[in-house]
Amino acid sequence: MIYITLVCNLGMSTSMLMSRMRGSAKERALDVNIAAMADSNLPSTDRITDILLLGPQLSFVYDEFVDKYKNIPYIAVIDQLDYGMMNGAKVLDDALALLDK
Amino acid sequence: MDNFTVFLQKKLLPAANKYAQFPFINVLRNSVMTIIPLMVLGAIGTFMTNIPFKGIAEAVVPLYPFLNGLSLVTANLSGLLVAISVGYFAAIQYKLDGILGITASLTSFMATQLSEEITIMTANFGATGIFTAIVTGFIAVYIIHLCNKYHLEIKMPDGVPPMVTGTFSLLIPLFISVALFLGMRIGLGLDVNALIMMLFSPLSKVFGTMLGMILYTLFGSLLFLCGINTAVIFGFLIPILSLSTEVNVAAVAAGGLPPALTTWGMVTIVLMGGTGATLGLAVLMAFFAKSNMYKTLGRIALIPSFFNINEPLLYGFPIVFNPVMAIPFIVTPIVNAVTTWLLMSANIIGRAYVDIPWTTPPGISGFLASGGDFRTMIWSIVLVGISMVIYYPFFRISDKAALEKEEAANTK
Repeated sequence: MIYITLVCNLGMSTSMLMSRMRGSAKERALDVNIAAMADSNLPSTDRITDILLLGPQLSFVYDEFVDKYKNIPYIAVIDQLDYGMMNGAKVLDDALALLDK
Repeated sequence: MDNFTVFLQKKLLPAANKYAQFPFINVLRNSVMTIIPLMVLGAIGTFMTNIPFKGIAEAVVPLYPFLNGLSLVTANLSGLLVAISVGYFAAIQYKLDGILGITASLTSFMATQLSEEITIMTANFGATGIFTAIVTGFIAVYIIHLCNKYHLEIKMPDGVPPMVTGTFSLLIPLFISVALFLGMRIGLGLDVNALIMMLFSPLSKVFGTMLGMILYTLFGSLLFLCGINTAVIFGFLIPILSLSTEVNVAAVAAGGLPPALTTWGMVTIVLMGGTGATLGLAVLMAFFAKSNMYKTLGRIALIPSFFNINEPLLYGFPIVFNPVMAIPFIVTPIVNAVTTWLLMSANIIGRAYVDIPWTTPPGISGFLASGGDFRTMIWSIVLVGISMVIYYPFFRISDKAALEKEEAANTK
């Protein structure tokens, strides 16, 4: 099981992307667990995260998060256009591709 | 223009981020967000007790005790809730136990709420206590943090269960913070609550004017043009809006006009579709786009836009870091704010005094926020038309460019 966590300021728009990613994962029968939350809930959550995806509105905290969350192996910023188009399949592909790097 | 964008991304964004991640700002935002459900439930009580339709109004009269009670235990306790949530979030911020933070914060807040006769007053448990709760809670938790840092705690011998040690470790910081606020209240006779309200009053005074409303929408648009969610300024916005509500609800209950125009309802009506009042643009894309790109984006963005969520649109169009779209993105909310303000202050449409969630769609927003005024309802729909008109030329340019790109790609 691969745990993917999406974060944005309020966890609203990423939750829309989350449901599209879940749909795409279900279609392809992938063993992933996807959740979305507000960035401010990240420090207090008990959730395990393998891949942390930041909404483009949080691109500027990327360096800081890499520094702060050393226990999360993969951190990336979601592509702006994929985010806008709510392209769940593509975001999921990009996230899983991180694991092969 | 590219240099400018690079400058924004490399210089301005990290600075804004420093601000947003600053412990106090972070705690402030998280704790005031907790009162939103209270405000919404309290607003149900306000709305139901002020229904303008005679038949319905008479029918709900038997429900008055329940509805009044509902407002009393929700909106009227927002300051108290902030005292609890500040303690919690500040504790999390400093990696302390949440319940210790709540204990220190709540007791410190109570120390500022004592009357001359040393009884607890409930007058500032609502909106007028929010700023006090933030200040006292943050100070109380910061004192625990300092005590831990400098090992100022009662040491228990080895073998004492950790649960017991935890309780005792709070004693010194808890005493310091409670004694501090009690000293101010009783020793010096200071009304801490009134003092804090006075310090914040310039902020709420400016924000309560039309200029304040213009500055707020302008600031919101500028932040999002740089890719920063307006949520970063919610920390200051929510306590001020709660104060407006308290003043308005009291005035309406006394049979008068709501005096404060800057309210959740106002903000939600003016910014329909989200920051930048982009609902018009979403409608244009969904129904009038010729390019595949904007047709698709319109279909994705339209429904969330009705609930005032527009990140897909802002990043998909994109509006973020787009100097051309910056024009309607700044102008539309200002036009909406000024026209709505003038109509409301002249009483041509009903004033928006009932707190509504910021996700309320246009039409419904105007109806509910104004306590059931059809003129405000219609106006909140007219604003969508205004947004369409202002965004139209800019939408056309972008759509045409996207179409040309698509055709060029097809002929290749």
